[in-house]
Amino acid sequence: MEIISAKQPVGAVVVSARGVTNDNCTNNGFCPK
Amino acid sequence: MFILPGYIDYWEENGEIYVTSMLRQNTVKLSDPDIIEEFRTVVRCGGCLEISTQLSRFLHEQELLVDEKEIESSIEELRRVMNEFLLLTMMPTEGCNFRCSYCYEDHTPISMRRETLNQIQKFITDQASQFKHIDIEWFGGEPTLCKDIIIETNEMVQDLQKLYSFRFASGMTTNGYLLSLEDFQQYFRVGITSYQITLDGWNHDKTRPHITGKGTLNRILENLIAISALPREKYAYHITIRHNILPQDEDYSWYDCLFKLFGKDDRFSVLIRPVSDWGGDSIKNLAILEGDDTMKLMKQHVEYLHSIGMPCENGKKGPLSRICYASYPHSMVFRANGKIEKCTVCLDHPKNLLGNVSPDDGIILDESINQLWSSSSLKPECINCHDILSCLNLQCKKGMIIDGVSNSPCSYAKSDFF
Repeated sequence: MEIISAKQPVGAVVVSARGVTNDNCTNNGFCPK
Repeated sequence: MFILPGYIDYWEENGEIYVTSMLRQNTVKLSDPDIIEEFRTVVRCGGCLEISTQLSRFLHEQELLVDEKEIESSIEELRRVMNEFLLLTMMPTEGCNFRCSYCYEDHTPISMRRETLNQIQKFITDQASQFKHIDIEWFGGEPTLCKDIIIETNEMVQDLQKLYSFRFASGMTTNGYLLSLEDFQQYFRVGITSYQITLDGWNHDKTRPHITGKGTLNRILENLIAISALPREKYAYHITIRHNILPQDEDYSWYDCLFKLFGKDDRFSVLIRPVSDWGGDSIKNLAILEGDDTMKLMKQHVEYLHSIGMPCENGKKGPLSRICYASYPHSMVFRANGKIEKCTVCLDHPKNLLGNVSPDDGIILDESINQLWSSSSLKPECINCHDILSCLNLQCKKGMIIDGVSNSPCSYAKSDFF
C-alpha cells in the first residue's frame, strides 16, 4: 500500500479546479450564462 | 457501514489497483495480492462494517473508505468553501446589439445608472474584507456596450485586492462582436480572463444576427484570431466557444474550421449546448431538440470534437463544478434597472427577486429568497453518486423553484456529454 499523491485541503482543491482563469465560475451550462 | 463513496474512483493497471479521491485529490496504490483481494471484497460487498484490518485502516486514514457521517462532514466542508465566495453577476445594460433567435431577454435598452453603480461599488467595498474569493462576471444584454462601467468597477476591485488580498477572478459572457484586440487587452489588464462567446457554426448569421440584420460571424472570428495571436506567457486567459445546437446541426466541418483556427491554442475550448426554451417569445418560432434526440446529437458533436483533438468543455466534473452560481449563498445578479436577482434566466420572476439597489439605502436583500436558492438537502442516492461533489444536488435550482421539476438536472448531469 503506497500513497502516490497526498491529501489536499478541500479549499485548495476547489480553487484549483476552477483554474487560474476561473473556468468553472458560474458556467454550470444549463443556462445561457 | 464504511463505504467507497461516489467521489472515489479506482482502476486496475499492471496487476495493481489505484484508488483516488476527487475530494482530496489523493491517490493510493495497492500491490499486495491479499490486499487486492480484500479490496475487491470491499467493493463487492458495497463497503465494510468496521475499520479493523490494515487495508481498511489505510483507506480510512486516506478518507477513501468513510461512513455516512464522514461524508456529510466532507459535504459541510464544501459548503463552507462556497461560503467564502462573493459571486457577483453584473448586467450593466440589458440592451443588445444582436437579435438572437432563441434569446429570452427583452432587450430593454437601459443601462445602469450612476447612483446604482455607486451603491454596488460601495457594497463590494464594505464586503471585501470578509471574503477569500471575489468573482465578478459581466453579463447582459451585451456587456461590451458598457465598457467604462466594466473597467471602472474591476479597477476598483483590484485596488481593494491590494488591501485585503482576496483572490479576484473575473469573466464575461459576450457575443464577441465588439471584442477588439485593444479592448480585450484593456479587459485583461483589469482582471477579465475568462470568456464565454457563442458561435453557432455555419448557421451563426441566421441564429445570431446583428440588430441591423447583417451577419456577425466573420467579425467575431477576426476578433478571436487577433486575440489568439497574443503571446501565451503574457496572456493567460480562457475562451469557451459555445455552440448552441438545433435539430439539424450536423455539419461537423464547422469544428474542422475551429480546429484550424484555434486547435493549437489551449486557451480555447468548445462547449456544446442544446438550444432550449429559456423563456421569451422568439423561441416559439424555432424547432428545438427534445427528449432522447438531445443527448444523441450532443454525443455526436462531442465525439467529433474528441476525434479531431479539439478541446471540449462537456462532461467536466471537478468539485463544485456543476453547481449553479445562483446556489452560492453570496451570489447575486445586479440588473441594470437596480433589481437584484439570483438566476440570470428567470428574470423578473417573484421567486427570483432577491432585492434591489436603493439610491438612498444601498443594497437591500431578502434572506428568505436567498435561502430558497442556496439551501439543499442531499437525496439518499446522492451518497453513492459519482457526481456528488460536483453537484451537491444544487445544479439548477430554477428547475425546482420556478419550473416545479423535482429532479431535472440529474439525468443530464450523469452524462459524459453534458
